[in-house]
Amino acid sequence: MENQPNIVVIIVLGSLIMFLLTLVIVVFVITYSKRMKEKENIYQISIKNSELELLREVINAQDSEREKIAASLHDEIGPLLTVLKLNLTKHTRSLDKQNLLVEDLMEERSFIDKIISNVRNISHELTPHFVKNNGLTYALTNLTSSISKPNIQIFSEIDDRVLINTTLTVNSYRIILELLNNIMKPDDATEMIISLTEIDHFFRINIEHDGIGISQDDYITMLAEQPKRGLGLSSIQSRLILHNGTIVYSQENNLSQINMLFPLKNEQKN
Amino acid sequence: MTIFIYTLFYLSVFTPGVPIVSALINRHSLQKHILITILFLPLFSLVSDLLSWWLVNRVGFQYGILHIYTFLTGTTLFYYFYHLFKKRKNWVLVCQAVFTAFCILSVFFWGGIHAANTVPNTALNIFLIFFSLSYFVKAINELKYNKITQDIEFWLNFGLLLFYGTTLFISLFETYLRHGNPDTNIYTWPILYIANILFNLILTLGIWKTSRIL
Repeated sequence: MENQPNIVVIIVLGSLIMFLLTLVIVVFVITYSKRMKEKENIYQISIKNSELELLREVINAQDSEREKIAASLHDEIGPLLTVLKLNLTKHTRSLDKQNLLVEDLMEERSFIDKIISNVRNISHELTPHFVKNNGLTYALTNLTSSISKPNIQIFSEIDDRVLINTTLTVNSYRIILELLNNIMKPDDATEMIISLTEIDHFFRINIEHDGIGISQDDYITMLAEQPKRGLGLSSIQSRLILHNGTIVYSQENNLSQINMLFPLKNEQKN
Repeated sequence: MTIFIYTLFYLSVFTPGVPIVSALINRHSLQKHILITILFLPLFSLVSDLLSWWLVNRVGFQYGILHIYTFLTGTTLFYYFYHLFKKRKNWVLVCQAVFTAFCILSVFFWGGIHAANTVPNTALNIFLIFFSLSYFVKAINELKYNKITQDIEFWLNFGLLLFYGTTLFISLFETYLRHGNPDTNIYTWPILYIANILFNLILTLGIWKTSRIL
Protein backbone atom coordinates (compact mmCIF):
# COMPACT_ATOMS: atom_id res chain seq x y z
CA MET A 1 0.00 0.00 0.00
CA GLU A 2 3.03 2.26 0.35
CA ASN A 3 3.27 2.33 -3.40
CA GLN A 4 -0.24 3.65 -3.81
CA PRO A 5 0.64 7.36 -4.21
CA ASN A 6 3.05 6.38 -6.98
CA ILE A 7 0.36 4.28 -8.65
CA VAL A 8 -2.06 7.20 -8.40
CA VAL A 9 0.49 9.44 -10.09
CA ILE A 10 1.00 6.81 -12.82
CA ILE A 11 -2.75 6.49 -13.32
CA VAL A 12 -3.37 10.25 -13.42
CA LEU A 13 -0.44 11.00 -15.70
CA GLY A 14 -1.06 7.95 -17.89
CA SER A 15 -4.72 8.80 -18.28
CA LEU A 16 -3.91 12.41 -19.05
CA ILE A 17 -1.37 11.41 -21.70
CA MET A 18 -3.83 8.95 -23.28
CA PHE A 19 -6.55 11.58 -23.22
CA LEU A 20 -4.31 14.13 -24.95
CA LEU A 21 -3.11 11.52 -27.45
CA THR A 22 -6.71 10.73 -28.36
CA LEU A 23 -7.42 14.41 -28.96
CA VAL A 24 -4.28 14.77 -31.09
CA ILE A 25 -5.23 11.72 -33.18
CA VAL A 26 -8.79 12.91 -33.70
CA VAL A 27 -7.73 16.47 -34.59
CA PHE A 28 -5.17 15.04 -37.02
CA VAL A 29 -7.79 12.81 -38.68
CA ILE A 30 -10.26 15.70 -39.03
CA THR A 31 -7.60 18.04 -40.45
CA TYR A 32 -6.32 15.36 -42.80
CA SER A 33 -9.80 14.51 -44.08
CA LYS A 34 -10.54 18.20 -44.63
CA ARG A 35 -7.33 18.55 -46.61
CA MET A 36 -8.27 15.49 -48.66
CA LYS A 37 -11.69 16.98 -49.26
CA GLU A 38 -10.13 20.21 -50.51
CA LYS A 39 -7.85 18.22 -52.80
CA GLU A 40 -10.82 16.31 -54.14
CA ASN A 41 -12.68 19.57 -54.73
CA ILE A 42 -9.73 20.85 -56.75
CA TYR A 43 -9.70 17.57 -58.66
CA GLN A 44 -13.43 17.87 -59.35
CA ILE A 45 -12.94 21.42 -60.62
CA SER A 46 -10.15 20.28 -62.93
CA ILE A 47 -12.40 17.49 -64.25
CA LYS A 48 -15.14 20.04 -64.84
CA ASN A 49 -12.67 22.25 -66.70
CA SER A 50 -11.57 19.31 -68.83
CA GLU A 51 -15.20 18.57 -69.62
CA LEU A 52 -15.71 22.19 -70.60
CA GLU A 53 -12.62 22.01 -72.79
CA LEU A 54 -13.95 18.86 -74.41
CA LEU A 55 -17.33 20.49 -74.96
CA ARG A 56 -15.60 23.46 -76.55
CA GLU A 57 -13.72 21.07 -78.84
CA VAL A 58 -16.97 19.37 -79.81
CA ILE A 59 -18.64 22.70 -80.54
CA ASN A 60 -15.63 23.81 -82.57
CA ALA A 61 -15.71 20.55 -84.48
CA GLN A 62 -19.43 21.04 -85.18
CA ASP A 63 -18.81 24.59 -86.36
CA SER A 64 -16.01 23.37 -88.55
CA GLU A 65 -18.29 20.68 -90.02
CA ARG A 66 -20.93 23.32 -90.74
CA GLU A 67 -18.33 25.49 -92.41
CA LYS A 68 -17.30 22.50 -94.49
CA ILE A 69 -20.90 21.89 -95.56
CA ALA A 70 -21.35 25.55 -96.41
CA ALA A 71 -18.08 25.57 -98.36
CA SER A 72 -19.01 22.37 -100.21
CA LEU A 73 -22.42 23.73 -101.15
CA HIS A 74 -20.97 27.09 -102.10
CA ASP A 75 -17.98 25.81 -104.07
CA GLU A 76 -19.35 22.67 -105.66
CA ILE A 77 -23.08 22.98 -106.07
CA GLY A 78 -23.40 26.77 -106.29
CA PRO A 79 -21.33 27.31 -109.49
CA LEU A 80 -22.94 24.35 -111.21
CA LEU A 81 -26.42 25.67 -110.46
CA THR A 82 -25.38 29.16 -111.64
CA VAL A 83 -24.05 27.74 -114.90
CA LEU A 84 -27.21 25.66 -115.28
CA LYS A 85 -29.35 28.74 -114.68
CA LEU A 86 -27.37 30.80 -117.23
CA ASN A 87 -27.56 27.99 -119.77
CA LEU A 88 -31.29 27.59 -119.24
CA THR A 89 -31.72 31.36 -119.77
CA LYS A 90 -29.66 31.06 -122.94
CA HIS A 91 -31.77 28.09 -124.10
CA THR A 92 -34.99 29.96 -123.37
CA ARG A 93 -33.75 32.63 -125.76
CA SER A 94 -32.76 29.95 -128.30
CA LEU A 95 -36.22 28.41 -127.89
CA ASP A 96 -37.74 31.83 -128.64
CA LYS A 97 -35.62 32.03 -131.77
CA GLN A 98 -36.44 28.38 -132.48
CA ASN A 99 -32.79 27.37 -132.89
CA LEU A 100 -32.41 25.14 -129.75
CA LEU A 101 -30.28 22.05 -130.34
CA VAL A 102 -30.56 18.68 -128.61
CA GLU A 103 -26.78 18.83 -127.85
CA ASP A 104 -27.38 21.96 -125.79
CA LEU A 105 -29.90 20.15 -123.63
CA MET A 106 -27.60 17.13 -123.30
CA GLU A 107 -24.98 19.49 -121.89
CA GLU A 108 -27.43 20.60 -119.19
CA ARG A 109 -28.25 17.01 -118.44
CA SER A 110 -24.60 16.30 -117.71
CA PHE A 111 -24.60 19.37 -115.46
CA ILE A 112 -27.54 17.97 -113.56
CA ASP A 113 -25.74 14.62 -113.27
CA LYS A 114 -22.74 16.42 -111.81
CA ILE A 115 -24.93 18.23 -109.32
CA ILE A 116 -26.61 14.98 -108.29
CA SER A 117 -23.23 13.33 -107.89
CA ASN A 118 -21.89 16.19 -105.81
CA VAL A 119 -24.99 16.30 -103.65
CA ARG A 120 -24.66 12.57 -103.08
CA ASN A 121 -21.01 12.93 -102.12
CA ILE A 122 -21.74 15.71 -99.68
CA SER A 123 -24.66 13.77 -98.31
CA HIS A 124 -22.52 10.67 -97.79
CA GLU A 125 -19.94 12.71 -96.00
CA LEU A 126 -22.53 14.13 -93.67
CA THR A 127 -24.98 11.40 -92.92
CA PRO A 128 -23.80 8.68 -90.60
CA HIS A 129 -27.08 6.79 -90.99
CA PHE A 130 -25.98 5.82 -94.48
CA VAL A 131 -22.89 4.21 -93.01
CA LYS A 132 -24.86 2.77 -90.10
CA ASN A 133 -27.46 1.19 -92.34
CA ASN A 134 -25.18 -0.21 -95.00
CA GLY A 135 -21.96 -0.98 -93.17
CA LEU A 136 -18.43 0.26 -93.60
CA THR A 137 -17.46 -1.75 -96.68
CA TYR A 138 -20.55 -0.71 -98.63
CA ALA A 139 -20.18 2.95 -97.60
CA LEU A 140 -16.52 2.99 -98.62
CA THR A 141 -17.25 1.30 -101.94
CA ASN A 142 -20.00 3.81 -102.60
CA LEU A 143 -17.77 6.71 -101.65
CA THR A 144 -14.79 5.66 -103.72
CA SER A 145 -16.87 4.84 -106.82
CA SER A 146 -17.21 8.56 -107.48
CA ILE A 147 -13.47 9.22 -107.11
CA SER A 148 -11.56 8.85 -110.37
CA LYS A 149 -8.11 9.59 -109.07
CA PRO A 150 -6.56 7.73 -107.35
CA ASN A 151 -7.92 4.40 -108.36
CA ILE A 152 -9.15 3.04 -105.07
CA GLN A 153 -9.65 -0.66 -104.43
CA ILE A 154 -11.35 -1.95 -101.33
CA PHE A 155 -10.67 -5.40 -99.92
CA SER A 156 -12.74 -6.58 -97.04
CA GLU A 157 -12.19 -9.97 -95.44
CA ILE A 158 -14.78 -9.36 -92.80
CA ASP A 159 -18.50 -8.87 -92.43
CA ASP A 160 -18.13 -5.52 -90.73
CA ARG A 161 -21.87 -5.28 -90.02
CA VAL A 162 -21.49 -8.26 -87.68
CA LEU A 163 -17.96 -7.71 -86.43
CA ILE A 164 -18.00 -4.06 -85.36
CA ASN A 165 -20.62 -1.94 -83.68
CA THR A 166 -22.21 1.12 -85.25
CA THR A 167 -20.11 3.64 -83.27
CA LEU A 168 -16.88 2.09 -84.47
CA THR A 169 -18.32 1.81 -87.99
CA VAL A 170 -19.15 5.52 -88.13
CA ASN A 171 -15.91 6.60 -86.48
CA SER A 172 -13.69 4.43 -88.68
CA TYR A 173 -15.59 5.77 -91.72
CA ARG A 174 -14.91 9.33 -90.55
CA ILE A 175 -11.23 8.54 -89.95
CA ILE A 176 -10.87 7.00 -93.42
CA LEU A 177 -12.63 10.03 -94.97
CA GLU A 178 -10.19 12.34 -93.19
CA LEU A 179 -7.21 10.24 -94.27
CA LEU A 180 -8.45 10.11 -97.88
CA ASN A 181 -8.82 13.84 -97.82
CA ASN A 182 -5.23 14.20 -96.60
CA ILE A 183 -3.85 11.71 -99.12
CA MET A 184 -5.69 13.25 -102.07
CA LYS A 185 -4.72 16.83 -101.29
CA PRO A 186 -1.30 16.72 -103.05
CA ASP A 187 -3.05 15.02 -106.02
CA ASP A 188 -0.15 12.66 -106.71
CA ALA A 189 -1.55 9.32 -105.60
CA THR A 190 -2.68 7.12 -108.46
CA GLU A 191 -3.35 3.82 -106.71
CA MET A 192 -4.80 3.12 -103.31
CA ILE A 193 -5.85 -0.04 -101.53
CA ILE A 194 -8.03 -0.03 -98.45
CA SER A 195 -8.24 -3.36 -96.66
CA LEU A 196 -10.42 -4.28 -93.73
CA THR A 197 -9.41 -7.37 -91.76
CA GLU A 198 -9.62 -9.02 -88.37
CA ILE A 199 -6.39 -10.05 -86.65
CA ASP A 200 -6.26 -11.59 -83.17
CA HIS A 201 -9.41 -9.89 -81.90
CA PHE A 202 -8.41 -6.60 -83.50
CA PHE A 203 -10.21 -4.84 -86.31
CA ARG A 204 -7.51 -3.70 -88.72
CA ILE A 205 -7.77 -0.99 -91.37
CA ASN A 206 -4.86 -0.74 -93.74
CA ILE A 207 -4.51 2.03 -96.33
CA GLU A 208 -1.73 1.66 -98.88
CA HIS A 209 -1.08 4.28 -101.55
CA ASP A 210 1.64 5.53 -103.89
CA GLY A 211 1.26 9.21 -103.06
CA ILE A 212 3.19 11.40 -100.67
CA GLY A 213 2.93 9.84 -97.27
CA ILE A 214 4.27 10.56 -93.85
CA SER A 215 6.34 8.58 -91.36
CA GLN A 216 5.40 7.83 -87.76
CA ASP A 217 7.87 10.50 -86.62
CA ASP A 218 6.15 13.07 -88.85
CA TYR A 219 2.84 12.04 -87.35
CA ILE A 220 4.15 12.46 -83.78
CA THR A 221 5.53 15.89 -84.68
CA MET A 222 2.20 16.86 -86.20
CA LEU A 223 0.41 15.67 -83.05
CA ALA A 224 2.65 17.91 -80.96
CA GLU A 225 1.77 20.84 -83.21
CA GLN A 226 -1.89 19.83 -83.26
CA PRO A 227 -3.46 23.24 -82.57
CA LYS A 228 -1.74 24.67 -85.64
CA ARG A 229 -2.71 21.68 -87.80
CA GLY A 230 -6.44 22.16 -87.79
CA LEU A 231 -9.16 19.83 -86.73
CA GLY A 232 -8.53 16.90 -89.07
CA LEU A 233 -5.80 15.37 -86.98
CA SER A 234 -7.57 16.06 -83.70
CA SER A 235 -10.71 14.44 -85.10
CA ILE A 236 -8.73 11.30 -86.06
CA GLN A 237 -6.95 11.24 -82.71
CA SER A 238 -10.08 11.66 -80.60
CA ARG A 239 -11.89 8.92 -82.51
CA LEU A 240 -8.91 6.60 -82.03
CA ILE A 241 -8.85 7.35 -78.31
CA LEU A 242 -12.58 6.71 -78.09
CA HIS A 243 -12.07 3.12 -79.30
CA ASN A 244 -8.61 2.50 -77.78
CA GLY A 245 -7.33 2.40 -81.33
CA THR A 246 -3.78 2.83 -82.60
CA ILE A 247 -2.43 4.28 -85.83
CA VAL A 248 0.95 3.62 -87.45
CA TYR A 249 2.29 5.46 -90.49
CA SER A 250 5.07 3.86 -92.53
CA GLN A 251 6.83 4.30 -95.87
CA GLU A 252 8.57 1.63 -97.93
CA ASN A 253 9.53 1.32 -101.62
CA ASN A 254 7.61 4.43 -102.71
CA LEU A 255 4.55 3.09 -100.98
CA SER A 256 2.99 4.66 -97.94
CA GLN A 257 0.94 2.74 -95.44
CA ILE A 258 -1.40 3.66 -92.66
CA ASN A 259 -2.29 0.88 -90.26
CA MET A 260 -5.02 1.19 -87.70
CA LEU A 261 -5.97 -1.36 -85.06
CA PHE A 262 -9.07 -1.35 -82.88
CA PRO A 263 -9.56 -3.91 -80.10
CA LEU A 264 -12.73 -5.89 -80.67
CA LYS A 265 -13.25 -7.08 -77.09
CA ASN A 266 -15.72 -4.32 -76.20
CA GLU A 267 -16.74 -3.39 -79.69
CA GLN A 268 -18.50 -6.49 -80.92
CA LYS A 269 -22.19 -6.33 -81.34
CA ASN A 270 -24.36 -8.12 -78.82
CA MET B 1 -14.08 18.38 -3.40
CA THR B 2 -16.50 15.68 -2.28
CA ILE B 3 -19.42 17.51 -3.82
CA PHE B 4 -17.49 17.85 -7.05
CA ILE B 5 -16.74 14.12 -7.14
CA TYR B 6 -20.32 13.21 -6.27
CA THR B 7 -21.58 15.50 -8.99
CA LEU B 8 -19.27 13.80 -11.47
CA PHE B 9 -20.37 10.40 -10.19
CA TYR B 10 -24.07 11.16 -10.63
CA LEU B 11 -23.48 12.69 -14.04
CA SER B 12 -21.48 9.60 -15.01
CA VAL B 13 -24.27 7.30 -13.85
CA PHE B 14 -27.06 9.15 -15.61
CA THR B 15 -25.49 10.58 -18.81
CA PRO B 16 -25.81 7.18 -20.60
CA GLY B 17 -29.52 7.99 -20.72
CA VAL B 18 -28.82 10.85 -23.15
CA PRO B 19 -27.39 8.75 -26.03
CA ILE B 20 -30.06 6.11 -25.41
CA VAL B 21 -32.85 8.67 -25.88
CA SER B 22 -31.05 10.27 -28.85
CA ALA B 23 -30.54 6.90 -30.52
CA LEU B 24 -34.20 5.99 -30.02
CA ILE B 25 -35.35 9.31 -31.54
CA ASN B 26 -32.99 8.93 -34.53
CA ARG B 27 -33.27 5.14 -34.81
CA HIS B 28 -34.33 5.35 -38.49
CA SER B 29 -31.16 7.14 -39.57
CA LEU B 30 -28.82 4.60 -37.94
CA GLN B 31 -27.67 1.28 -39.29
CA LYS B 32 -28.84 -1.75 -37.33
CA HIS B 33 -25.47 -2.76 -35.86
CA ILE B 34 -24.68 0.84 -34.89
CA LEU B 35 -28.09 1.30 -33.29
CA ILE B 36 -27.63 -1.89 -31.28
CA THR B 37 -24.17 -0.78 -30.13
CA ILE B 38 -25.26 2.75 -29.26
CA LEU B 39 -28.31 1.50 -27.35
CA PHE B 40 -26.70 -1.35 -25.49
CA LEU B 41 -23.38 0.25 -24.44
CA PRO B 42 -24.95 3.08 -22.41
CA LEU B 43 -27.72 0.74 -21.26
CA PHE B 44 -25.24 -1.74 -19.75
CA SER B 45 -23.39 1.17 -18.15
CA LEU B 46 -26.58 2.68 -16.73
CA VAL B 47 -27.97 -0.61 -15.41
CA SER B 48 -24.69 -1.82 -13.89
CA ASP B 49 -24.05 1.54 -12.21
CA LEU B 50 -27.54 1.72 -10.78
CA LEU B 51 -27.38 -1.91 -9.64
CA SER B 52 -23.95 -1.43 -8.05
CA TRP B 53 -25.12 1.73 -6.34
CA TRP B 54 -28.18 -0.05 -4.98
CA LEU B 55 -26.17 -3.06 -3.81
CA VAL B 56 -23.37 -1.00 -2.21
CA ASN B 57 -25.86 0.47 0.23
CA ARG B 58 -27.12 -3.00 1.19
CA VAL B 59 -24.50 -5.71 0.83
CA GLY B 60 -21.40 -3.82 -0.37
CA PHE B 61 -19.76 -3.66 -3.77
CA GLN B 62 -20.36 -6.74 -5.90
CA TYR B 63 -17.58 -7.61 -8.35
CA GLY B 64 -19.91 -10.02 -10.13
CA ILE B 65 -21.72 -7.08 -11.70
CA LEU B 66 -18.37 -5.77 -12.95
CA HIS B 67 -17.58 -9.15 -14.56
CA ILE B 68 -20.95 -9.31 -16.31
CA TYR B 69 -20.77 -5.65 -17.38
CA THR B 70 -17.28 -6.08 -18.88
CA PHE B 71 -18.30 -9.24 -20.74
CA LEU B 72 -21.52 -7.75 -22.16
CA THR B 73 -19.84 -4.46 -23.14
CA GLY B 74 -16.94 -6.30 -24.76
CA THR B 75 -19.25 -8.63 -26.67
CA THR B 76 -21.34 -5.70 -27.95
CA LEU B 77 -18.24 -3.86 -29.11
CA PHE B 78 -16.77 -6.92 -30.80
CA TYR B 79 -20.12 -7.33 -32.57
CA TYR B 80 -19.83 -3.71 -33.75
CA PHE B 81 -16.25 -4.06 -34.97
CA TYR B 82 -17.13 -7.38 -36.65
CA HIS B 83 -19.50 -5.37 -38.86
CA LEU B 84 -17.11 -2.43 -39.26
CA PHE B 85 -14.05 -4.41 -40.37
CA LYS B 86 -15.67 -6.54 -43.03
CA LYS B 87 -12.32 -7.61 -44.46
CA ARG B 88 -10.84 -8.42 -41.02
CA LYS B 89 -13.77 -10.29 -39.51
CA ASN B 90 -11.62 -13.25 -38.49
CA TRP B 91 -9.27 -11.03 -36.48
CA VAL B 92 -12.21 -9.59 -34.57
CA LEU B 93 -13.47 -13.11 -33.87
CA VAL B 94 -10.03 -14.18 -32.60
CA CYS B 95 -9.89 -11.13 -30.30
CA GLN B 96 -13.41 -11.87 -29.10
CA ALA B 97 -12.39 -15.47 -28.34
CA VAL B 98 -9.31 -14.33 -26.40
CA PHE B 99 -11.38 -11.80 -24.47
CA THR B 100 -14.05 -14.41 -23.63
CA ALA B 101 -11.33 -16.81 -22.47
CA PHE B 102 -9.93 -14.09 -20.20
CA CYS B 103 -13.42 -13.43 -18.81
CA ILE B 104 -13.95 -17.13 -18.03
CA LEU B 105 -10.47 -17.53 -16.55
CA SER B 106 -10.98 -14.41 -14.48
CA VAL B 107 -14.26 -15.69 -13.03
CA PHE B 108 -13.03 -19.23 -12.25
CA PHE B 109 -9.29 -18.93 -11.66
CA TRP B 110 -7.81 -15.43 -11.52
CA GLY B 111 -9.25 -14.02 -8.33
CA GLY B 112 -12.74 -15.37 -8.90
CA ILE B 113 -16.11 -13.69 -9.10
CA HIS B 114 -15.47 -11.73 -5.89
CA ALA B 115 -12.32 -10.02 -7.16
CA ALA B 116 -11.68 -7.27 -9.73
CA ASN B 117 -11.52 -8.51 -13.33
CA THR B 118 -8.29 -6.66 -14.12
CA VAL B 119 -7.09 -8.94 -16.94
CA PRO B 120 -10.23 -9.03 -19.14
CA ASN B 121 -10.87 -5.35 -18.46
CA THR B 122 -7.34 -4.32 -19.45
CA ALA B 123 -7.43 -6.68 -22.44
CA LEU B 124 -10.69 -5.07 -23.54
CA ASN B 125 -9.12 -1.62 -23.23
CA ILE B 126 -6.15 -2.68 -25.36
CA PHE B 127 -8.32 -4.39 -28.00
CA LEU B 128 -10.59 -1.37 -28.29
CA ILE B 129 -7.73 1.13 -28.48
CA PHE B 130 -6.28 -1.01 -31.26
CA PHE B 131 -9.62 -1.30 -33.09
CA SER B 132 -10.39 2.42 -32.83
CA LEU B 133 -6.94 3.31 -34.11
CA SER B 134 -7.44 0.83 -36.97
CA TYR B 135 -10.67 2.61 -37.82
CA PHE B 136 -8.87 5.98 -37.99
CA VAL B 137 -6.15 4.50 -40.20
CA LYS B 138 -8.89 3.09 -42.42
CA ALA B 139 -10.65 6.46 -42.45
CA ILE B 140 -7.47 8.19 -43.58
CA ASN B 141 -6.83 5.65 -46.32
CA GLU B 142 -10.34 5.65 -47.72
CA LEU B 143 -11.64 8.66 -49.60
CA LYS B 144 -15.23 7.78 -48.77
CA TYR B 145 -14.68 9.26 -45.32
CA ASN B 146 -14.46 12.73 -46.80
CA LYS B 147 -17.12 14.18 -44.57
CA ILE B 148 -15.77 12.29 -41.61
CA THR B 149 -17.49 14.37 -38.94
CA GLN B 150 -20.87 13.51 -40.46
CA ASP B 151 -20.19 9.82 -39.98
CA ILE B 152 -21.49 8.19 -36.79
CA GLU B 153 -18.63 5.65 -36.96
CA PHE B 154 -16.18 8.51 -36.45
CA TRP B 155 -17.91 9.74 -33.28
CA LEU B 156 -18.36 6.25 -31.90
CA ASN B 157 -14.68 5.43 -32.42
CA PHE B 158 -13.64 8.81 -31.08
CA GLY B 159 -15.67 8.13 -27.93
CA LEU B 160 -14.32 4.60 -27.61
CA LEU B 161 -10.70 5.67 -28.06
CA LEU B 162 -11.15 8.46 -25.55
CA PHE B 163 -12.90 6.29 -22.96
CA TYR B 164 -10.83 3.12 -23.25
CA GLY B 165 -7.57 5.05 -23.76
CA THR B 166 -8.10 7.28 -20.75
CA THR B 167 -9.26 4.46 -18.50
CA LEU B 168 -6.53 2.02 -19.52
CA PHE B 169 -4.44 2.73 -16.42
CA ILE B 170 -7.48 2.58 -14.16
CA SER B 171 -8.32 -0.87 -15.52
CA LEU B 172 -4.71 -1.95 -15.11
CA PHE B 173 -4.48 -0.88 -11.47
CA GLU B 174 -8.11 -1.50 -10.49
CA THR B 175 -7.22 -4.04 -7.79
CA TYR B 176 -4.90 -1.52 -6.09
CA LEU B 177 -7.54 1.19 -6.32
CA ARG B 178 -10.34 -0.91 -4.84
CA HIS B 179 -8.25 -2.08 -1.91
CA GLY B 180 -6.21 1.08 -1.46
CA ASN B 181 -6.59 4.27 0.51
CA PRO B 182 -9.94 5.89 -0.31
CA ASP B 183 -8.39 9.33 0.17
CA THR B 184 -6.05 8.90 -2.77
CA ASN B 185 -8.85 7.50 -4.92
CA ILE B 186 -10.43 10.93 -5.16
CA TYR B 187 -7.78 11.67 -7.79
CA THR B 188 -8.39 8.52 -9.86
CA TRP B 189 -12.11 7.67 -9.96
CA PRO B 190 -13.07 11.11 -11.33
CA ILE B 191 -10.99 10.23 -14.39
CA LEU B 192 -13.35 7.32 -15.03
CA TYR B 193 -16.41 9.52 -14.43
CA ILE B 194 -15.17 12.28 -16.73
CA ALA B 195 -14.24 9.74 -19.45
CA ASN B 196 -17.68 8.16 -19.19
CA ILE B 197 -19.46 11.54 -19.35
CA LEU B 198 -17.38 12.59 -22.37
CA PHE B 199 -18.00 9.25 -24.09
CA ASN B 200 -21.76 9.66 -23.72
CA LEU B 201 -21.66 13.28 -24.87
CA ILE B 202 -19.53 12.43 -27.92
CA LEU B 203 -21.90 9.59 -28.77
CA THR B 204 -24.90 11.93 -28.48
CA LEU B 205 -23.18 14.59 -30.57
CA GLY B 206 -22.43 11.96 -33.21
CA ILE B 207 -26.04 10.74 -33.33
CA TRP B 208 -27.42 14.25 -33.81
CA LYS B 209 -24.71 15.29 -36.28
CA THR B 210 -25.33 12.19 -38.36
CA SER B 211 -29.07 12.72 -38.40
CA ARG B 212 -28.45 16.42 -39.28
CA ILE B 213 -31.01 17.62 -36.77
CA LEU B 214 -28.53 19.54 -34.63
